[in-house]
Amino acid sequence: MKAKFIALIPLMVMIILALILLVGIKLNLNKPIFKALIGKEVPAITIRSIISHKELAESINDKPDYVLHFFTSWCEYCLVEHRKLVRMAKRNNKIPIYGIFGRDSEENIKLMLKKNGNPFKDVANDEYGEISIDLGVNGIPETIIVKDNKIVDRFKGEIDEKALNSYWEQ
Amino acid sequence: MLPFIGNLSLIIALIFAASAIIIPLISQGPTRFVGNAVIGQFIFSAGSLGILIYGYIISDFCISNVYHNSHISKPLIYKIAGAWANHEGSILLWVNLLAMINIIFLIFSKLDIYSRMKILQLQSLIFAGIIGFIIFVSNPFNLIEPTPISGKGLNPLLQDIGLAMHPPALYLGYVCSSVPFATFLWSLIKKEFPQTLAIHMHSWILATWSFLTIGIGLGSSWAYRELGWGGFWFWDPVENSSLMPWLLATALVHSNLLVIKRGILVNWTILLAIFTFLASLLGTFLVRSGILISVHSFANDPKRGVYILCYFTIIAIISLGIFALRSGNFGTRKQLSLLSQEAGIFFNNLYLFTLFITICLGTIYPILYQYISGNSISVGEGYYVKTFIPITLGLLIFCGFFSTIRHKNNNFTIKYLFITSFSLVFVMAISYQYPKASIISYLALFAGMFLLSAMVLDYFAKIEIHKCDMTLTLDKVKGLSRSYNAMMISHIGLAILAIGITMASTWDHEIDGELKEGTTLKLANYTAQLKGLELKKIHNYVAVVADLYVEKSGNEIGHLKPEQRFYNVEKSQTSESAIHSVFLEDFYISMSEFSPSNNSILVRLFIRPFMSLIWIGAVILSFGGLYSLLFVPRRSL
Repeated sequence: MKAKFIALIPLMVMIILALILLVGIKLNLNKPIFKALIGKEVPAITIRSIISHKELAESINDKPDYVLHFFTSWCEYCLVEHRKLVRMAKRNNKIPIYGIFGRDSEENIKLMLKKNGNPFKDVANDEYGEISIDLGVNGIPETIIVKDNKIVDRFKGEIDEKALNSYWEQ
Repeated sequence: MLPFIGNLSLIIALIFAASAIIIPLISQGPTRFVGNAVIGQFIFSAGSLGILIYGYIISDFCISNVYHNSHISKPLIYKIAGAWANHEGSILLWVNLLAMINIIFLIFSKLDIYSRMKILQLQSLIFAGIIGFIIFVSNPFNLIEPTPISGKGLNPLLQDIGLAMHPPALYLGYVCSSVPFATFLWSLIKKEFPQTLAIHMHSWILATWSFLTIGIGLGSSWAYRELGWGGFWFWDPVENSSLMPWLLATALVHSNLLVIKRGILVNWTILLAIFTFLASLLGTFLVRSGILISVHSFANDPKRGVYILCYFTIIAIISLGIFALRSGNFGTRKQLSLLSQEAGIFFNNLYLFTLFITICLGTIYPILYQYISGNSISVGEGYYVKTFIPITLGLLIFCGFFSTIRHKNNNFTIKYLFITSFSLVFVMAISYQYPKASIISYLALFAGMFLLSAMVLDYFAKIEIHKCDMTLTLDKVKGLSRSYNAMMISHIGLAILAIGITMASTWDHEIDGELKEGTTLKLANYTAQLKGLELKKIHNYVAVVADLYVEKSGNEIGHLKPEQRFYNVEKSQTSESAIHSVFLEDFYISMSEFSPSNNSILVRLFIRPFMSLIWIGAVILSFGGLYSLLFVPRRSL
């Protein structure tokens, strides 16, 4: 009897998993996954900046509208987006952009900024990936637009320049 | 015309599969029918893959799949490989490999004809589900109108020979796992588990394991050479999803041996075979469904996700349901001596299954969470370093201990004391040469060396090398059983792999810098001087080739030529790193940027000590599997 019961466990686990997934997909089918977390409040970003050496939250300093850009120096597509951000920052310096990198060294990042220009108000090292995990960033480059301390839009990969600008023109 | 024939061919394959499932159910008629239907499935699925490849070769851009992934100027080999470097084509390749191994099973299996037909009926069910997926939600023959003049090209990162080979090898491993799956399910249905069944299945289990090992190895060597970040494993969910079936297949290879030798753990082995195949399905779909975003995935279509999930759930519930109803009838209960190789296999399974659960949690949980809540989270390298690595260390030491344990051995304590102290001395020697590392790295080195020295010592003892008699030793070498040799080869491969991974990921260093003609950059005792830049035009890309003259401690090493390639069609660039690899270390240059205005380049230099051990270890490991598959006579197990 006991053996029979144990043999049932894998089936039970599988059925429960399947139900959770099916219900989950049904609820979220119309919500594109990559737009997840929209509306969520951004937690205090306590990682340290490599430029001002302050905590990024301090650097953001209660101005609730800003852009977070996740990148690294070794990622080709990040470089493409980086140049785009540099161009944008030159044209419209009202948008405060904060850079966050992980899996990379400070020297590499500083070199990258020196070489390609720095569109960021401040740059911080997400060494242990906490901020990426909190904000659900699972690929780079990724850009998150924050208004009123809440996520209003996010771009995985290529930044939609028009959409980004529109948030600052309203 | 081509897409029409391709689609027709797919539909005929589906009809063959459906009839192979249904006809034996409704009539007691000729059992051989299933065999013929399986041949039909193979011919027509191969036909449609052939047509897709032909579409790629002649660049028929009315097929949307070709338009999105190919271009006229691409070299032929990447046109062909382009057929499976995308979602739709890769699933078509998967199903073709499944049809191929069904044919091999039909011809070479030694089971009775009735069982063979029943097993192929189950295989047809798997086949039908995937062919249905291809036809209804993931059709590679979708048309595009009006026909474009030129294609969008293939992601340049994927234009690499290692990557052209990586999916077929990995997929071959995945589909091979379906044979033990279906066979063991059949034995559950029949309520019979003869010992010979485990012996027959051992070849398939070994094939699964060997091809998975080769596939994963090819994938990670591609990542090392091509991605330009100097690493080889990222704990990316996609990589993890290939590691899951590998871990289970490793457990299965071992537990099936216990079934063959002692007739125990039968139920567990059946469950492992089911899990291995389910993990293989999951591996294929996680990568190809667009659920995961990384270099591997291309599409994000909720319809596909739902189909895949339903298909997976049906297969899982059928198989686990049969298991729940019928298991428990087989095998005997025997008391195992705690200090025996059999007990070792038990621990091996415990460890590997724990590793599987660890990875499964790290990979599946974020996806599950994302689906349920609509939010996304991610699990980083930190999780795996804290969980996976410590368990693996234990596994290595247990492996070294239990695979060399002997029943009639009274100098037991001395032997393991010797191995332990030898490994400790090795670690101390290494720590003298390579100081400044975390305790876990030294522990990992110890575990790897413990396994290696235990295996080598055992081999030496077997061939009685201490008697210093060449002819005797040679006789002993010839007299060793092939299954022992296979075990020895794989375990030594594993040890070398573990040592290599530890060394290469602990004592690596790197530097970035800007170089102009004539200037140099230093890293440790290496100096790299930029001699010149050259512009090369190759049919589908333009490359800037940097000529770097490299010296190590003043001695010439030679010219290394990293490249930056600009793919015109795809509007993207890749960097080709240049690697100088000697046994002791890899010196790796990747060029991240070229600025034409001041004729300078941005380079990154890496040193990865003992990187070659990783590839040597992986090759030996796979060779062990293939050796066992091809040369170990099944009856001698």
